[in-house]
Amino acid sequence: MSDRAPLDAAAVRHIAQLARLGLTDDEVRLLAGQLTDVLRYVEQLAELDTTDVEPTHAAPGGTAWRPSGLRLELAPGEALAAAPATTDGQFRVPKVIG
Amino acid sequence: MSAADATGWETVIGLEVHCQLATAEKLFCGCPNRFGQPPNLDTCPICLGLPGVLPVLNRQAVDFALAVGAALGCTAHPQSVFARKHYFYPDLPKGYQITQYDRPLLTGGAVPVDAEDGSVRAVPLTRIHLEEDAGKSTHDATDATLVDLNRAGVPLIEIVGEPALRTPEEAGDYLRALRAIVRYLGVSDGNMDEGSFRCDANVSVRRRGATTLGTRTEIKNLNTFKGVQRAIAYEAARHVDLLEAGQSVTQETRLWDDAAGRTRGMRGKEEAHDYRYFPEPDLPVVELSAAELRAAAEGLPELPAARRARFVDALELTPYDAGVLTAERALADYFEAALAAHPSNAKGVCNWITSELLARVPAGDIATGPVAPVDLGRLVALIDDETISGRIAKQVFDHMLAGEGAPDAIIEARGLRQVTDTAAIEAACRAIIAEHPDQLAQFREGKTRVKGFFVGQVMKATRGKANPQQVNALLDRLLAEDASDP
Amino acid sequence: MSGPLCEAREALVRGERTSVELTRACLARIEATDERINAWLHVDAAGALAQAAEIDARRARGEHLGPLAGVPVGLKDIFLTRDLPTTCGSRILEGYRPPYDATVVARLRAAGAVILGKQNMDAFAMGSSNENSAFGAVHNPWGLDRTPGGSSGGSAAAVAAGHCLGALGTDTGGSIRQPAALCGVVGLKPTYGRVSRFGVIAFASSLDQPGPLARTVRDVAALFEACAGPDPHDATSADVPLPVGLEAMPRDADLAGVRLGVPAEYFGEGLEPGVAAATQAALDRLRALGAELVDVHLPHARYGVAAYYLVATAEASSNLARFDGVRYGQRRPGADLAAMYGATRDAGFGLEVKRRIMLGTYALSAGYYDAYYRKASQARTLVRRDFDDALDTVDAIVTPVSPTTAFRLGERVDDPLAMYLADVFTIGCNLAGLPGLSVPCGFDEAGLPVGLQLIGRAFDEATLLRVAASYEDATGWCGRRPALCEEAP
Repeated sequence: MSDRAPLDAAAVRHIAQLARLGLTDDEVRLLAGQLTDVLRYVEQLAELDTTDVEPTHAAPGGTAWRPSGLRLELAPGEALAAAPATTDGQFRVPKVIG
Repeated sequence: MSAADATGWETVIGLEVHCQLATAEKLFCGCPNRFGQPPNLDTCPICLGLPGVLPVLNRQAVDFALAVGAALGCTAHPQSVFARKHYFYPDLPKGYQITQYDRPLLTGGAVPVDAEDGSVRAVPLTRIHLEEDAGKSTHDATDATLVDLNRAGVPLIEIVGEPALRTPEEAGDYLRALRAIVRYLGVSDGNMDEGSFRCDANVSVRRRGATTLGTRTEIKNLNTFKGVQRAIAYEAARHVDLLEAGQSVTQETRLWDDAAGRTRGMRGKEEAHDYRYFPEPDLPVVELSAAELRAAAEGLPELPAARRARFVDALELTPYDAGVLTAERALADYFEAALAAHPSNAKGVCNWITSELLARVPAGDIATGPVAPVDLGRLVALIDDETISGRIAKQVFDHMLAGEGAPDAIIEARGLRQVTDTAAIEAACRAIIAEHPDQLAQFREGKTRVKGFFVGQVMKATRGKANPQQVNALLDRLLAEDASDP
Repeated sequence: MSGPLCEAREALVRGERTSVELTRACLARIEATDERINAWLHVDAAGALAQAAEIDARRARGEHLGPLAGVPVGLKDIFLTRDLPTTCGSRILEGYRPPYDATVVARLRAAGAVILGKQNMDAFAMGSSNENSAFGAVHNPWGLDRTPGGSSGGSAAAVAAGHCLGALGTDTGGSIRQPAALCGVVGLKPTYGRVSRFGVIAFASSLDQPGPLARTVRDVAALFEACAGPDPHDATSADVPLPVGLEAMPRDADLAGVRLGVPAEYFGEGLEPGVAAATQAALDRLRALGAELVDVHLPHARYGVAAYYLVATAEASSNLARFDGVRYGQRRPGADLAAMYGATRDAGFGLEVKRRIMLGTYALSAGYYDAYYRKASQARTLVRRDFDDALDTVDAIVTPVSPTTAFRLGERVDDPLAMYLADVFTIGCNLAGLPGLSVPCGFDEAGLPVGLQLIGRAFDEATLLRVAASYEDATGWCGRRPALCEEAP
């Protein structure tokens, strides 16, 4: 991975779009440089021989099943209490396509 | 035959079915799993995706999925892994869906689909995995989107079929077979109207004889079996038209517009999907012992195909009747319970269910309706032992439908027992003949059809209780006597 | 010393103090010095005094009370609290009041603890200096121009300044241990799965672990006991029996028979001289107490930072997707849905959070998953195996906590990579899921505290606490207070 090109502005904008971050041009420029530095640093992992090495993800230990009846009850209206906008008991957001 | 077939093209169809599991609670929280509640009532911090919440797996959902896997001959994996699938949409509260990706619970297997010639074709499956449903978005008059999260977190199985279907009709048969199985297992209500059984279709076409697949499109918004078939036929024809005009098919997701009878590309720019799957760190690997996997297979009820075959082979029902009875598990169960009360006449019990009961009671209500299966079996037994005639049986049946209980009690209370006393019937016949000299004269002039009139009068006089065979035989003799009289 | 928390508890039980008095004293110290420290985002004075009065009344009636009854504590603002605002140090949650309590908050309440309020932190726990809080940096009580460390900087500073008798923080890559070291207090990151994460705003789910900060080892042990244990709401919480009575560890115990591993990889270049000297002195003291010091090797330690910053940011990019302005939090208007999302998230998240979301999104994106996220998860396995192998031969591993003492605020803000590299000694514990503890082990020439780290076997926090308590009894570093405390009421 050491020959990978640094992140350019277009790549930064693409990732920002995936992450739904509306970055300013200044932020794009700044992050392109900083993320490139970090990516160059992490590329040292390529030195490691990880053939047949299982990745570590979640906690060890078996399945934990949810006991039935275990529920956090909300008071009436509480589900929507913190919402920026609601209509008729539903969350309201701007139209999907502008 | 679809348009594609007619032009030397072959349609290739793979279906992805999302089937809601009828568990008591949601997949990762304790909210009730039910349909038709006021918006956002069946929600809690977990399915609302509030900060800080964690999912914990519902055992019943895993058991239901294993039952489907066992019924379809899938390989159930002792270890499977949940993953996060990321996309932003207001009805996806966490910004990711918890699903299974590279290590699903079930792989392989097949759906047995009846072909028109009576043979059964096993349509192979790729995999079945467990995942959570999203909520529901609707759009109001100002185009704003309203979000109800009652459905968010409801357990789904996604049943991914191989691209092994070739006609819209076959796709419809496949869906019906699959739906019958999940309903049989009692793991889903399979209700397409309420969205508990949903289907996406991947469609491509290729020249007949070609071995590689054409470019496919994925069709969404298929809400009825008929819609699935129409959409596939439309889409295949659209592909053929494009290709024959020298154009190419664009790989994309399209929506079926049932009213317009066409598919259309999704509005706006089609964003290249990058779901960024990775193993869900909040859920340990799902580990199931060999004993747990075995239990799923052993707990299976008899499936529709096997039951249908048994009804034909052992009970000598026609394939048609067996098909009607096994279309719904509740109906087949009802039939077997009725048959237990009168094991010697499967055909008779079947006929009473298919022609009388189903005419009066909707199939879905039979199990809870006014006529208990044991009473229906008894009714047929009472006909067969000549306690009542078929005609009286229909009266008795009316009283049963009215909730009056067991047929024996109704017959007793209403004095409907069949009269088989020859002397009494003969007396009634003689009286009727004596009362109708004109008709007797007509009979003697050779109009033998008038005999029917006498039968009717005798039955009327005995209020239907006379044994019809005896009435017929007696009238034959008495009318003949009279005729020979000088 | 047993510690101010344990002593207060005993005084309450003996009737020498009331909880209202203790709570008033804490509130007065907050009042006196927090304008300069900025450790608190929300102080619930009325609520705390009401809780204290209720505990006092129940005690007067002779009711059975929990183990922390009447003890005033603080919570990092990452814990959801039903009646208090919860911001996670971020604008995007400004004004948010959650409808439920985190499991550990419920446990503290059940134990009778008085909750004073919510403590400042790096937004979404992302940071090692507390400069990433949307509500202003926290200032170190030992030097107000210095960082308290992060991300649980508000909690460590508040404990050091005597604002509370203990606090709960969270540790994803050192966020309890590093600020504890930089503020001269004790901090424990328990084994992954030991303390429930339910109701704790997630940064990196496979690494996050809540844990206590307090002035002494026994105070930390008392808080740890009250919070730990399995939770049916957290599938990753473990049902492993917890030793009880940890805070009642014997005084001045020696360490005969205890084998402590010293990894050369943690004592190389980059260590400030003051830190190196204090750490070496601590090793000598441990040996003098009877411990056997053994060389151990953690050959993959140097890949830890790279693996950590890929795994943690990948999980963070996912965990922070829910902050979308739909169901809670601050929304910025947009002509359509995409514009609303972009504006809300751009305005609501600070630069460090955005940087990490970007890095994590990239590490998981099509074409890069194998090279970044998967590779890092494999490197994590190698790091974990190193620790497992080493801990087969020793009871615990001893290392520095941070290569430096508290650095000046503003010194590193423009160099995120340099900031990340300072986490080198603490992230191994998180990658391996092991318990780690930071205990004060002296001061540098500038009078700033240095911390010593002990890393133990999974679910063996008891050994770490025992070794640390013995060391603490023998040294008395925890008795030293910042000068600022002298002027307080």
